Amino acid sequence: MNQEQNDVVVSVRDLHVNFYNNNRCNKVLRGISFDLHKRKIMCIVGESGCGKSVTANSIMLLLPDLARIEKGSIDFYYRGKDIRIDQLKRKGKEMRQLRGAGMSMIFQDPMTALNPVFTVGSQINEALLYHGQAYNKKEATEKSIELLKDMGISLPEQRVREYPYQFSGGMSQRAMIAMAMSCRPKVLIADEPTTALDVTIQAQIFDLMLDLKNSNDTAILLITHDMGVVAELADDVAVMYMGNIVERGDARAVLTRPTHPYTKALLDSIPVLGRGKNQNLKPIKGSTPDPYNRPNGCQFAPRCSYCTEECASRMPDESWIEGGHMCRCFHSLPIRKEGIHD
Amino acid sequence: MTDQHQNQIQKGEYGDQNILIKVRGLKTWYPIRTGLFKKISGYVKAVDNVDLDIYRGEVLGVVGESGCGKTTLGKSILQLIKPYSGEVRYQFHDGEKNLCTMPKEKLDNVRNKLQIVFQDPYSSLNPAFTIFGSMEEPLIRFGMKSKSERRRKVAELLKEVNLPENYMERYPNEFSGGQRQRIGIARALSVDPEFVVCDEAVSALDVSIQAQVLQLLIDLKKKRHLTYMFITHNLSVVEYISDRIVVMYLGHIVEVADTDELFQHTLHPYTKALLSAIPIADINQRRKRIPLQGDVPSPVHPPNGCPFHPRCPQCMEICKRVVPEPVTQIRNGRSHMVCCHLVKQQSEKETV
Repeated sequence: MNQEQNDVVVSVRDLHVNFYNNNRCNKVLRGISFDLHKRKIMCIVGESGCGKSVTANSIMLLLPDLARIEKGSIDFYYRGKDIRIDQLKRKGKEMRQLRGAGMSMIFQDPMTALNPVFTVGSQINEALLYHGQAYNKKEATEKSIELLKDMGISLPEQRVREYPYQFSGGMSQRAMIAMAMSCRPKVLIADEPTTALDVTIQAQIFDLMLDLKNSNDTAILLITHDMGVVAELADDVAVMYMGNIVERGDARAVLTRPTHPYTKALLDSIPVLGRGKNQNLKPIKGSTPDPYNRPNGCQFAPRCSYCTEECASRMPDESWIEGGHMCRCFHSLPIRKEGIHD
Repeated sequence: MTDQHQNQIQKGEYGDQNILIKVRGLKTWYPIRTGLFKKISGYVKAVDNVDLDIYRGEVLGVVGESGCGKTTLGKSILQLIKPYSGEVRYQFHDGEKNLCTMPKEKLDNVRNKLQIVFQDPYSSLNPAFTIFGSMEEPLIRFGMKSKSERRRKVAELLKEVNLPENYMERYPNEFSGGQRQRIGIARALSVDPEFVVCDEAVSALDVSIQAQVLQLLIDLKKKRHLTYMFITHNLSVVEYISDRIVVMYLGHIVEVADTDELFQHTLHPYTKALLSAIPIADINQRRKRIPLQGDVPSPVHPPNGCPFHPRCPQCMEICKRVVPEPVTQIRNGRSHMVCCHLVKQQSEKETV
């Protein structure tokens, strides 16, 4: 147990985040908890609007101005200290020193995340110089070239002086990863890093992330909506629906023996490569509810085939099935007995 | 189409008479204009020398990375982009006609046979029109004069895509992505087409909604005997829905085969690499990845010889000089076309 606790790099407990727009309050995160472990990849999956990106942005404190962490805590164990991220100032000095050095982030769209008026080199240099990894511009540029070379970008000496528009999508994403990895962070948060990229480039990017994980003991939080990516990379997985983590646990356990009706329905609704045309896809009925007009009880209840009266009245608590496998459903036991359809 | 026809297709007897569209030597080149007088200084060869047959009643999947010319191919067949040269011969009831040389007025009159479902359900519906407004346009064009009749038809179509009929008075902003995509499908079907190009029709949708739309497309195909050209980069979806698959790379077709055949006996090195790169949503199934180096080359300056040779793990001398000719292998009575020198040499060795 002690050993396990030492491995925890980030621990999020009962996190509530609200957005205040147009005099309305959207409870985006409704109490989520999870841990990031050293050298482990944690995947968060879910549909758009379920709060995946908000979770990532809360850890980096990159929330919009009108968002507030209402409740809960985010602990970051860094250099022997326990840093309460939720209590830091968003634009304060401490947080700026953490971003890029202790934890860093890869964004979804590399073309908009890079600044178009600076060269790629100068953007990587900025991180190196700010966090004291290099003492002058010349040294920083040398390091940037080295980083780009590690990312498999050809002609790095020339590329470092070019602007983002001269890079292809895959190359800019690799430049972003170079930037994120420049200070060897302990936590890497990747928010749909390959959604905008082709599969062959996606495979290259994942190899780079695995390298960083193994060489630097980095904990990776990977946000995706692709179950294939989860099956391929994840050690742990958390399934989110409308601001709650509905199921969490070891990737193998969750994918092979899903216990929450949503996870099960999600797995039943996607075509899997190699199973041909005879797959029996079962679409999930209806669509995600309006966040301003949520169901009272379990958020998935209106679309769920197991729904009972109890589900409509209150949100189920976290229940533990075995090991670290958590599920928030009243009907988890009968579902578990059924197994998955094939 | 008769049931007999349908049976033939299901049995896989692709005869000549079943060809709906013949594409021959299709080139779609976009001119690059530079300088004061906008002189043409070069071409982006988005689709280069494509030969393809599309059979009546099949679902033809087109896969490839972004920028490989999938969408341009689809739009060129529909003449939404005028090809630079080549032929698209469409089998009408009164004989075969080349769409590329057809005058515009005549082409507009046959547009009801050829329809498209666009990728982005958010930008393909006019936000200032109600759903009825968007959907009645094609009906007016194809001669449905009375408004009450159009309303009845639109209601019928909405019902067909599982939407309540009173939705026709609403505006696109009131709908979710999946609902909009279904409206897009209903609009394409409003003029009773034979051939529908689905250009990344499910890519912009959430996974749980994707299955709904896929199911709908399959049901409609069965009901209305449609022929689909299904353009996507998602191979799991294409495997699920298509009968035959075309793999494109840099404006060229590199491999064409029946779905099962393509996945079981992949021949082209690019298809192999592409298939191995896809993460599979099944934790018990793991494959060895074939890593590809670098990016897709620019279609302005395509490499000499085989378009794939700079990234090919099995590149030979001849690949750098000569463009590979298509080789057709017959396995279990079904043809499997591939453009690769390596495959050609291997099959020659086998016959010797």
